[in-house]
Amino acid sequence: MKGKNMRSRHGSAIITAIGMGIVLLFVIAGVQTFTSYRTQTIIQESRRVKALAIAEAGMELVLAELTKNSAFATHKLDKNLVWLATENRQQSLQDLSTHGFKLNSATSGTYSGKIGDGTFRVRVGLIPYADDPKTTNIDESLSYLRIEALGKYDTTVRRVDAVINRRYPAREFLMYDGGVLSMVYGLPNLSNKNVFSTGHLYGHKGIEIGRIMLSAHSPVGHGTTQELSDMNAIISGAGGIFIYSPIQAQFRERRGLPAKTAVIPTNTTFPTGGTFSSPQARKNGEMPKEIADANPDLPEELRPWIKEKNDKMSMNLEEPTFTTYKTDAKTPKGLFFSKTDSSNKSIKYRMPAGWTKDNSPTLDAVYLDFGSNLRTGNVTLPANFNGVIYSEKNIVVKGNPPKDIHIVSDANVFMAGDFNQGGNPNSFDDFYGLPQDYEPGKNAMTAIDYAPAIRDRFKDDAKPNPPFRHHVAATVVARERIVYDYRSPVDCFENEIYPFMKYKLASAMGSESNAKANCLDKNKNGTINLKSGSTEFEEAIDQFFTDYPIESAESAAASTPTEDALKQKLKDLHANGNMNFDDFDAVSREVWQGYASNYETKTAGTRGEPSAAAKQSSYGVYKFLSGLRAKMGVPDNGNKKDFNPNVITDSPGDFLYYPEMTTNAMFISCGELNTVFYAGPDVVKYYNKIGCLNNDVGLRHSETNHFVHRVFGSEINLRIPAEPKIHRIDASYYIPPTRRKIYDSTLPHMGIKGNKYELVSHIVISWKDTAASEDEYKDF
Amino acid sequence: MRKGFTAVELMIGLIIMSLLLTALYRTFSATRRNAAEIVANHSINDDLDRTLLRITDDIRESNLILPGFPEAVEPMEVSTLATNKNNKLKFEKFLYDYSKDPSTLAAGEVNYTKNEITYYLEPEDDQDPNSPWTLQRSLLPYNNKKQPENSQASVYTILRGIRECVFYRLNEQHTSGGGNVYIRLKLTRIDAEDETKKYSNEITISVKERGANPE
Repeated sequence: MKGKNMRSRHGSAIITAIGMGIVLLFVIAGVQTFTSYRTQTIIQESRRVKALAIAEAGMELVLAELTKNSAFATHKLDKNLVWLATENRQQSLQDLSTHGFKLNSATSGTYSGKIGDGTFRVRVGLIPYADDPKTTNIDESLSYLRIEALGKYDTTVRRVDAVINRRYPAREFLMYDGGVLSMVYGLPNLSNKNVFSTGHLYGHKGIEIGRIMLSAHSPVGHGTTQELSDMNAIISGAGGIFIYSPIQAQFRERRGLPAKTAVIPTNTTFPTGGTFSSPQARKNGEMPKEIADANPDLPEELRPWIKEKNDKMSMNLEEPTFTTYKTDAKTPKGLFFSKTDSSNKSIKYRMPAGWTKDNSPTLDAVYLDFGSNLRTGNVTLPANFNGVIYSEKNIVVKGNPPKDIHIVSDANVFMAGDFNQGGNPNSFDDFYGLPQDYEPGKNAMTAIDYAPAIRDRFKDDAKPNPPFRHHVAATVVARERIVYDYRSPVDCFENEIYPFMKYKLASAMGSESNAKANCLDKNKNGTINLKSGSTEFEEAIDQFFTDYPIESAESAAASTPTEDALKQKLKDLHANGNMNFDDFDAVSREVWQGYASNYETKTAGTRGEPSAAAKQSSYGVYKFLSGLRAKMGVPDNGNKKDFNPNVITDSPGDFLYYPEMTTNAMFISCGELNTVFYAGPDVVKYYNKIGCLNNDVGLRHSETNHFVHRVFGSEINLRIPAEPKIHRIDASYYIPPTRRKIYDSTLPHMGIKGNKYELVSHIVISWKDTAASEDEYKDF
Repeated sequence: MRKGFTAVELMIGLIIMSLLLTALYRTFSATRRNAAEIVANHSINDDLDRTLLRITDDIRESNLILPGFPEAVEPMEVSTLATNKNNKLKFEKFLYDYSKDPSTLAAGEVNYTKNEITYYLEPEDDQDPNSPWTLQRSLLPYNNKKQPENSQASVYTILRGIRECVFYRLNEQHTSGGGNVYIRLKLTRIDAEDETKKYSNEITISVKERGANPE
């Protein structure tokens, strides 16, 4: 009975169980499906993110390769950005096992490797775009790169396709500063102006511009102001653009905008009682708290030319490729000087007080003179020279290098005279080096740049196969500082003093009118007429050297060989009668060598120490300088406070040139500013320049109205925190020259193609990330 | 005697059966409701992810985020920021044509066109202070003479039902262009019965600007 009842209930239990089971199954299946879908989605998303990160890493690695070697490329591209043939290349990066980074070795084509759990393949090539003639400081045909990077993680592939704008700051910028670019130069109580012409100005942490109004943050009479001419753009990477006084500015035409002349109005009042993090910081160039973080307003109408931090033009630069430079300099095609070099180029270079770390009176240096129209240099370049000179010591350099060149020092580079501005010996106009002629009515103190015909000589240098190159695309790199050394007048003003000396000598030997006609006025066919009487002639020669002594009074009394030998040589000429221009020039060069070589002491292995003669105001070179200024109509030799430069009479038709030192190169220094430097419109700013001091010379020849320093090219101060930190300069103050900082528009077009040492910055201007297939990856 | 169920047995069986079925239904129903809840909550997460990914991609492809859009604020002000109509994210994307010879460009012509893109918020109900917001994306193309093509401007709705959405930058010293753009986005379920148990998700992301101004 009981068993039968149980059986009779059996059917409903099973049905119930099955029903519940089915319901449970649906629920479990639903939950499982949902969970599985979510899991799969998350896994896929994570793979995509990883693959994208790997592709991005590949792109960044190629950018790092480009930074180390600006000539790096894997493929050619056509105008439609289609990849063409492979390019030969060298990889600079090294494997890093701790980060799972390994590069596949290859010397051409796609760049590939492994990073972490994934692999990448990258192509990079130059976009064949044409140069825009409207932009003088950029060669667009070298400015755009396509990078296509594929990253693969497991079976997932992602693609990053980007266009990179490659910038060449040393060729594009007139001035670049890795800190705050300070454009406050000059002296108080003056109405003169410094001029900055063409190119871009860039301050990575801001820019300050204004006239002198303070001294150690206390008010003084307003002084030198700054002027901007033919400017391309003023750019702040991050930080404000501080304008302390109205600044006259001319801006270049841009596409869609005409050129503009404007006054940039004052937008910042520098607080005289500002707040600084420490008294030392105040002396080291720190901006006061009151304005440090400000982003002062700028006129809307100037926005196309003035880019402040919100305009995203940040360009942070890595240090130059020192390792590559050194490696290449050590090959037989380069020139290398080690710390222990004992060749005849290695010297002790005399330094003023406060300039050396241990107060030593000299620095170990390599002395490189590339020669000029008037002298033979001491540098012999190796056969098939690769363009690199590297010194582990300081370098002292001057003269005109014969080839596009990179001069690199592990320490400082001293620019000790005119550099890289050769005259053409086959062109009469270029007889004394490059003619420094200005447009009629202008002179070195009133004009911004040379007359157009002279400027064209430089532009011609960038053309293919020019008949003569007045300058080359020189790069000067210092791990510490680049210093302009104005101490030697025979090196700084040789091209100006020599023609004047020649004119004075011709006047002494014959007559002033004959000398003027045949030495000053451009007339190569003229003859130098000698005085008819030999006694009269000899007395005139003696008088010349009395007026312009080569040696000091004590030495002359003791009848020294240089002056006496030259006197005799000149006296002997009388027997031969009148002289043509070339013969007279040959003799004059010997006389000039007498003056030039007697500027320094002749201690072997030492340079930069003025001789006894050079420490006296009677030294002929100073008297020539003084006479030259007087001849050009400079009142009181430029020493008057209210000096009016308009009174200078500089005719383009003669060989009289206002004293001017020209250094032409891309000057790249790495060291942090470590000197006395008061931020703001302040006069107390010690630059990397050595002027002449009273106790060193017989004539202060390097003051504001005495000469012009023409920096032609670009000044790049990277301010990279160096190890070890560069020592502080705490030198005596000197009166700075009038500055002309002029951009060299041939730089983007000369010596750049295939140059692997370029200082470059890369900016992403087009970006796309997309999916890609495994087949695409395999075939890439 | 014929075997069978008595009425009492049948009733007891039916009662047990109905109790079992009721319990089963309640279990099933609760599970289904929970699953639906989870799916709905996940769709909030998906909407957040999708929207932020969309904006992130957009910013990464851009060249220039326009100054002031969004405004830079001090870090301590971030928590006080609230959704409003004036809080906008505005940037530009440039499209270059490298096949052109720049020397042949006419006066005022450039070798690129650009799109100006703006993300902005609108309340779904202007009268309701607690109204959720809608995120819009507008696009204004410019021609190669740098002139806007207003007739081709368009607006696209990215997401509705937003509880909070804020764009901002941080005031950071010596950082070009602000460096990062921050987006705080909060979504809350509006269909849940119990107001206190509404699912919400809030994410703040930062996007590093990559591109640059072509000039």
